[in-house]
Amino acid sequence: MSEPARTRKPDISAGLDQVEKFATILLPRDAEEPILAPGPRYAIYEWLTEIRARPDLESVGLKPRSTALLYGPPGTGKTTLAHHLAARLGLPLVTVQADRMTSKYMNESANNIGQLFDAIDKIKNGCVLFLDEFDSLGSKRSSSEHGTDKDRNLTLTTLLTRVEGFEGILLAATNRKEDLDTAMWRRFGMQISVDLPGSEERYAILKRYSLPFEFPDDALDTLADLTAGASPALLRQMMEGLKRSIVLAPRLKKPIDDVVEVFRGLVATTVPHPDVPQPHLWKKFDACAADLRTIPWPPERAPAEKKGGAK
Amino acid sequence: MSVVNKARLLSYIERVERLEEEKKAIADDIKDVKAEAKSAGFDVKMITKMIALRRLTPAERRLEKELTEIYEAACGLLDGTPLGDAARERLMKEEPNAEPAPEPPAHAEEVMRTVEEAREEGGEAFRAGVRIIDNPYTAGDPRRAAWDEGFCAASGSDGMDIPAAWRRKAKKPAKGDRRDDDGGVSAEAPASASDVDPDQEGLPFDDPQERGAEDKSDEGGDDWPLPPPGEPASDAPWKDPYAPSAAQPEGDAAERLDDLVKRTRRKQAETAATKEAAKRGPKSATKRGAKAPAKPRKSNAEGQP
Repeated sequence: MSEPARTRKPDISAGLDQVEKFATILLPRDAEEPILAPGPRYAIYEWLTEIRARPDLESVGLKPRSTALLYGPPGTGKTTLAHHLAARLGLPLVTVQADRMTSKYMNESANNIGQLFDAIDKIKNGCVLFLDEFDSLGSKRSSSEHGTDKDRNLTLTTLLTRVEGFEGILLAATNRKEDLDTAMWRRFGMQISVDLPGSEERYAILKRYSLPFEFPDDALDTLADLTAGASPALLRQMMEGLKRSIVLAPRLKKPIDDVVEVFRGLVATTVPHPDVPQPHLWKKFDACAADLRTIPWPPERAPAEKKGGAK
Repeated sequence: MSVVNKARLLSYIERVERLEEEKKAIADDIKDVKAEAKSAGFDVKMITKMIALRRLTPAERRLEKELTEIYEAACGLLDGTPLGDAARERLMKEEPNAEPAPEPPAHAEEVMRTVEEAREEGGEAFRAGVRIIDNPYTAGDPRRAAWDEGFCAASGSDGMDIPAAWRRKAKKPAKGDRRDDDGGVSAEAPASASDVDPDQEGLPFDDPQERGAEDKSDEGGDDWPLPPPGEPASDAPWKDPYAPSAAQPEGDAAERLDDLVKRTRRKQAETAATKEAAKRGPKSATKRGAKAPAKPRKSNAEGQP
């Protein structure tokens, strides 16, 4: 008999095709290790424990919280965190893109929200719903009589109702928490700050994205110090840019002998948004030159068996 | 032919012919009913199929359903829909006509495992370097949670530790992050990120690496109140709530909660009694203080008598 017939595991992707119109599906096996500060980590772990302790909570008339809002600067790993949570629960993450929900036609956005939640309810084996860039859907209501404003208000009201009545696990992420509607904010069982990484986390991110090149610990420490205040996304961009410079140098006929000049080029082309705090390396590059020169340059490639590193 | 009873033979033939005529008439009637159903918008093929199914006993119908689904699955005709319960149950049984059984899938044995076994398996998975998200149990299965808890208990963390390959080999001295000359906000405060954001507080978990180092340094030491092997420290920040030594009672949630309240009260009473005893005899309590036995041990360590 064919193998599929013997498989007793439920197919977690069954029914997800109904939501593909609005969302991207991320499966548990594709989740990455999150590199997070203790605060959000503990919040997520507590939530996982809470979800699993449903019978105990129900015995005292409580239910596990089912919704959480992740907020913090852009590129701090909110999606990675949501994906990790879903993977721990063994469920696919349905990542809803705001642009697929909104429409130029009146009432269409609210209708899309209704369709999405109806489709999610029908997914037999469950999923974690993740509303990314949530401010685009859940921003404050307006008292204007304009047609577009009325439509936005209707969209938000629909969202409020559906989020409140949602039985599954729902996460939303925003980097503009101040724009969110007050009632919407209150609908979430938890509001978790996913902030910029600390020194340990920066070190890990730099190490992760420097592979397969190997930098000594002191060099990564120096870089972690110089990049204080950088988001994980910026750190990744910087390290990938560094590797790109090394690899493309012969083709571009661009010398890479001077580490300071390599970093100068990187810093000039990988710039954090002007509204966010500027890490030292970007703010006062010349003052960092002496520290950069202590980094052994060019880096060596790690032996083949160490590739990928993490367990 | 003279011996043949002609009249009797003809009677048989005529009876059969009459029946044939009746059969034809009934067939025509059936055809008419079907045509009527068709004109009313029903699918005649499906009606015929239903009539055939109604003709069967419940057991025969079940068998028919099982075999249809199994054969459809074998021919790839299920189009991604899951196999029905009846068919799956049948597949659990031995089938004499089946092909040699393929290698059982990795999760085949899990059916037989208990929650406690899954917890142990989670611990083993951590030691084997498996990722926490590669939990073999399905969502909602209590063994999935147990596996995860076993993994976390073995790692002494929340399962979100930075992988060892990306961590510093040695703890960085607390010199703090770089601060701007003009006191800008680009840098973090020297102490820790927790000074900047109340969310960035320390986790209530032991770092397995650091814990290992401390364990070594504490061999024969006197400062760290290590519990006996296999027993969690009474004041350890991370305690596996399902650890065997914790004597997790069986029963429903309400009973477990009552038990927890009772244990907490008992502990409070014991703590109060200890404090009371300490108040009554402060001198003797001082003698039994934690630091008192440290001195002779230290002198022993230095080789003095």
